[in-house]
Amino acid sequence: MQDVRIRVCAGAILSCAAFLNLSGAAAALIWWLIFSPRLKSINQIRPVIGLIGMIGIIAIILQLTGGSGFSYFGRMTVIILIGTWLAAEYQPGEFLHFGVWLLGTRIGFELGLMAEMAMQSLVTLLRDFDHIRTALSMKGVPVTPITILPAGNLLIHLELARARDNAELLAVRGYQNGGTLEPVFLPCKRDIVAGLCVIIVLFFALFPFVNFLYFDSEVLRGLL
Amino acid sequence: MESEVMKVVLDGVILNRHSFSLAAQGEFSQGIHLVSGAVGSGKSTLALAIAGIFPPEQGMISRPGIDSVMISMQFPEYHVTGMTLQEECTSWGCKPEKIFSSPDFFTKKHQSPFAISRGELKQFHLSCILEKHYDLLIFDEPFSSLDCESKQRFCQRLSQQKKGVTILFTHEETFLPRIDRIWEIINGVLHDRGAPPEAISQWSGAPPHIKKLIGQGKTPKNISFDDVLEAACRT
Amino acid sequence: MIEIRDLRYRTLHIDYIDIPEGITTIIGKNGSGKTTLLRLCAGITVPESGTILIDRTPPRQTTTGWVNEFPDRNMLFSKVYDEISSPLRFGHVAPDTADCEVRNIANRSGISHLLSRRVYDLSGGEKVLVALAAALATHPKILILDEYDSHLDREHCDRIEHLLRDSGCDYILRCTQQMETAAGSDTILMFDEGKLVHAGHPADVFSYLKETGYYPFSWRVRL
Repeated sequence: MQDVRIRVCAGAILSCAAFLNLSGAAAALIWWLIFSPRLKSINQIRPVIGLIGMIGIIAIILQLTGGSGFSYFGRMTVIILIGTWLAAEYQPGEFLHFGVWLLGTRIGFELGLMAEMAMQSLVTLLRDFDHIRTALSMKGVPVTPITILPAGNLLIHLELARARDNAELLAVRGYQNGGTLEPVFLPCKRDIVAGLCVIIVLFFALFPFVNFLYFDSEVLRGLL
Repeated sequence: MESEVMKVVLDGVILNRHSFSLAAQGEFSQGIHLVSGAVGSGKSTLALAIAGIFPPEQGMISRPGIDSVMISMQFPEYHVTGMTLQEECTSWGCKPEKIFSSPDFFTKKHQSPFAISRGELKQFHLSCILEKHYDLLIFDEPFSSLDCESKQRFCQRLSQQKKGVTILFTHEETFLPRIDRIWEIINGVLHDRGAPPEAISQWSGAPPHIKKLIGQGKTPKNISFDDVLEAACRT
Repeated sequence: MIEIRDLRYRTLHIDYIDIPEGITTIIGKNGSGKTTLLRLCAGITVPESGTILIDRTPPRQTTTGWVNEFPDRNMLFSKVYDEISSPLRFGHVAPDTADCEVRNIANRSGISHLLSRRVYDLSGGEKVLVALAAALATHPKILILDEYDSHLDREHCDRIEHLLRDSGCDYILRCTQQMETAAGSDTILMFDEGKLVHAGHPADVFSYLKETGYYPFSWRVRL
């Protein structure tokens, strides 16, 4: 989805729809199957499987303790898939354009700048982790939960050092508040079609809710 | 039983990245090899592939007779796994007494690796690497961040490597050790120029002052500082 | 003139120096204070005592371009265009004007073809060129480069040298371990353990360094 405005709104609506109930989650899943690159959008499958596994454990606990574990699992899994799609579609610089379009050259620019730098940090965090793993392997240190703890320490240190470098770079480049930018977006027909289909997903999520309200009010009238 | 001769064999190796493609074929035998090439030509990627960190997209890299491998990466931060220099030293398997007996590091044992300058960190990690023997030792830009004196000391220590295969990937032009073979990456292909002094004339990436000497008919016997100086002083 | 008086910061200790306009190269051992001085002149760090004035103005009130040694530490954004345009955007320059400036400096740096690329996909030399373009985008009064050439080949070093000479900056302060590069400067400052030990024209400074590794090889053999 080329247009970040449509994508962010779609992501937000789909996530809310999936969270609301199972029919919303099912509709969001169908949307994901049709409009996303599906499994190709999952850059790194292991963290996603890990996350889904974690949710699975929580769901089992929930089910065993009388909650709707299956519903929780289904809804959360769809939200994760929507999240991976959003992450895969990210193009560098677009948060800046989105921020300025939404909230102007002061607050919007600063929020967009923060988002861009956050995305950068994520990329560099993963690279640093790879470098540390390579260094450990070169030193003949096996990568285990025990040996990885000091690596976590190191990662934090590296991120703090990078944050300091970024702050210095911002200062030297004259950053004080906000900035100028002319937002540019490139929507295409597919984006618009996909965006309209998100509305249908929302309807599926809200319809059981409307039904519930109606049913509930009928019960209430009956009681009264 | 004779021990196997140590070497690194590149057989039809192809490395592909976003901005380059590199084809490599040849054998790195025992001794010190220099690999030169422009920035972005794939030296670091080749170094990592020879170290066994990244597999090549095609072909095979074999290391007969080699039991231990170490790569010194371009940026010293990439090696750090300890919170103090002493921890770092231990992580390399080195004896702290030996490393910290040097005047350069004597007072810095308990400092964080990130509290010292980049050049000092590079000197430190090179000292740790050279303290132990490795059958295959790869250096990716070892001279970057080093001051002139440290470069000279590193060349001296490297020249003392008697056994094993040592491969140097570098842009350095002035302070180089005596080497046994010259390689260069040109237009995505690794070329074996051979052994000095004949290889020096074939070396298209030779430093400008060496090229000038060749032009004057004063080809150095090798590429170390002393060899080039000797050639320059010839009448 | 860059006027430094009674400067103290950690181990760095400079009583008095005036640095004229032009290219000044700082040389010395690792840990001798070179980067510290550059950071003070850029206004990134503030002296513990003493003053630095660039044409009677403190560093933090002077337009400064800065290039760190490590290419990855010079990057705020993922895209080359955003990186180069960042100082113009922060300076609230009109988007059309900023776009012109970005394309102009990219053209002069020979990196126009990289504008839509991701910074992390670039080679080390390309990253330095991008960082330099970003530093020059606002036509700074002082350009500061911290061992920018330590990971570069001869071709990129020469390209950057031309760019520096054509930059139009009043002051260029750099540190390097390549004495051939230092030999082409207007002024050299040599540091050792935080103290300024030699200062002046390359011919004067290098005359003290003939017996050390800091003497340019081409001067040694008169090539």
